[in-house]
Parts: sequence; structure tokens; C-alpha cells
Amino acid sequence: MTVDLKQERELVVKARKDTEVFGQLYDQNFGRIFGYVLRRTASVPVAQDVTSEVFFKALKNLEKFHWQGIPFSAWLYRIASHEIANYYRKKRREAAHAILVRDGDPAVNPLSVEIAQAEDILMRHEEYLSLHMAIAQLPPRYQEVITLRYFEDKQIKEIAQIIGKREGTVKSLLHRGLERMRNLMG
Amino acid sequence: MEEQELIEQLENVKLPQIEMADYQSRLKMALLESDYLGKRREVVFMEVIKVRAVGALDSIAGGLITQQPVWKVILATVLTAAVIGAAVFAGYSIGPQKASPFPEGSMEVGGPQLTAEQKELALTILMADAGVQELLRQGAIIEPDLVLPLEVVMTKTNDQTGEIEEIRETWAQAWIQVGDSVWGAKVDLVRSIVVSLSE
Repeated sequence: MTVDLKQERELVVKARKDTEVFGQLYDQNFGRIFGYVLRRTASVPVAQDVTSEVFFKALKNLEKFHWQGIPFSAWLYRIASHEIANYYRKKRREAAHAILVRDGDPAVNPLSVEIAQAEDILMRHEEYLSLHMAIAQLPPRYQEVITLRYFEDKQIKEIAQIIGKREGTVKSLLHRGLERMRNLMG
Repeated sequence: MEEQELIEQLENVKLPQIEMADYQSRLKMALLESDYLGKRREVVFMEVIKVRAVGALDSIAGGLITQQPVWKVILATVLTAAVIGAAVFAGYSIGPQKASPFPEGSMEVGGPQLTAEQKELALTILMADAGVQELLRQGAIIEPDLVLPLEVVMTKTNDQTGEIEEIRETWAQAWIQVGDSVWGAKVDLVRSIVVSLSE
């Protein structure tokens, strides 16, 4: 997708004072961020949880966002990567609480139906799930670049913008990540 | 497997394309309702959704994949207001509750003040938590004055009557200073656990 950086920059400036404009940025970016987190985690509920965090963090920190000539989405991807790592650090604690909180028969609401349907779709992508299983065993820095390159179809330059590294570093991370993945897959 | 073979597999794999319109619109509503850019109220939303995880796959910290339990509760703490701390320091009194855009649960800062026993319990739970202990090793300071009430409203649908039942609990929220950063901890006083700890 071609991003009109000038237009986007204006939107970001306006969004600092106007939630409705932030809503436009949200609409433009929700799909790609949710998709990225979903393909990183292979879990619909986790993708929801993390995506919520990403956008609230973005909203909260919008004033700290300094325009550096890269798409706003690159900043969101960076927050997303951070939140994915953060989520797994907190996961054990929250899972423990979840067990304690649930009681009686489960409730079903429209959102849970949507989640169940989404999970059905996810489960049908066996080849992806198999690849994800291998990727998920890599250190996060490799997971990040491999997912961005092959699942998000990002160019090396874009990945460099997202992770804040040089293009050469990205290439190196990709190469080493693929090598580790090959070893894992046998 | 050769590298090129793996690359081709990665490039050609059919990826899940999932749209979640309901979730997308709820999250947008929550963002816009949060008023972060306007009055910056000290409201923390929390979505407590009981999810039917039909054979869901989920990754865990080590990167392994495990089967989810049939039911799981997703605690999506979606907003941590930077101004909460400032409001707290100023002895801010919490205003009327804000209706949650989520049908299944909300969490808000406020409610009655914690009793001395509740505050002591919160501090005990915090001190026993491994994450908090790690922060203390890093020089964290927990001020009792910054252990505040957190009124939690959880709703669930009665499976037999279909009616939504409301469960209210008083938890605690503690603000922990670690160097230049501030960590927030949500303490479930009913179950004696620290539910979340984040910077």
C-alpha cells in the first residue's frame, strides 16, 4: 500500500488534539496491525489483547511520536513487537488469574462468537501453523524480521524502519533466522 | 531443507486473513471514548471476556504451542492513563463512573477508599509477588499512599436465564516508582494475586 507520508503526517498532527482524526489513523492501520500480531502469535484472543494495547499505547504516546519521514504504521509495528514480547512476559500471571476468575458456565457474547469463527479460520491454515510453530521457537528478534519479511511482505528498508536497525543488520538477522529455522525443521 | 526451499515455502504459504469487525469497532469506540487527548480522565478500561476457545492454538513464552483450555478469560487491560499518577499525587477525587463500551466487563479507577486492612493486604500481596520483588531488587519504592482503590465490575451472562449478572469487587492499584519509570500493579484483593504489572 502506498502511503502518502505528507497526508499522514498532517493526520498525526491533528490526531494529537482530535480523537476523531485518531480514529481515521486507527481505521487505516487496524487491519495490518491486527494481522501482524495474529500472524506472530497464531492466537486470536492474544492478537485482540495485544492489538488493544498497541492502539492505546499509540494514543497515549502520540505526543511523543516524532516524525522521521517513515510511515506511522512503522511506529505501530514497533509498538506491536514490543507488546507481543510484553504480553508473553505477563502471560503466566494473567493465565493464573483467568483460572481463578472463571466460574460457573461460560457466557457467550457476540464478540466471543466472532472470536470462535476467527479461530476456526485460523485452524484451517495448517501449513502456516506449522511454519509458525518453527518461527515461534526462534528468539524474538528473528521472529520479528521473518514475520515482517515473509508474512507481512515488507521490504528490507521497511523492516529497518520498523525495528530501527540498519538494512545490513536486517539482512543479517534474516539470514541467521532462516538458518536457525532450517535447523529446527530438519 | 535448503534455504531457498524454506524461503519459497514462507513466501507461498496461505496466510490467515481474518477480519473482526465487531472487535474492531468496539476497540475504536473504547479509544475514542477514552478521551485521552481531551480531558484525560483517569479511567482504566478492562475487558473481561469469556471466550469459547474452540481448539485454539496459542503460543507461550518459550515459543511452544499448546492447546488452550476450553474456556478462558481474556483480561485485556487496554488503557493505562499516564495522568492517573498525577491525579493521585494531587489527591484527585474520582468522578462518576463511565459506562463501558464492552458488554462483558469493565474496570475503573475509583470507588471508596481502601480500608487500612485492604491497603495492608494489598501491600502484603505485592510484596509476595515475584515480579514486584524483582522491581524491589532494582530499587523500587512502594508508597502506601499510592496504593489506591480499583473498582472492578465484571459481568457474565447467566447461561440459564440469559440475563447479564454484575459482579463488583474492590481491588487495589499500586503505583511503583523504579528510578525514572512508574510501574502499575493491579492487585486482586479477593484472590490475593497481582493480576498485572506493567510499566
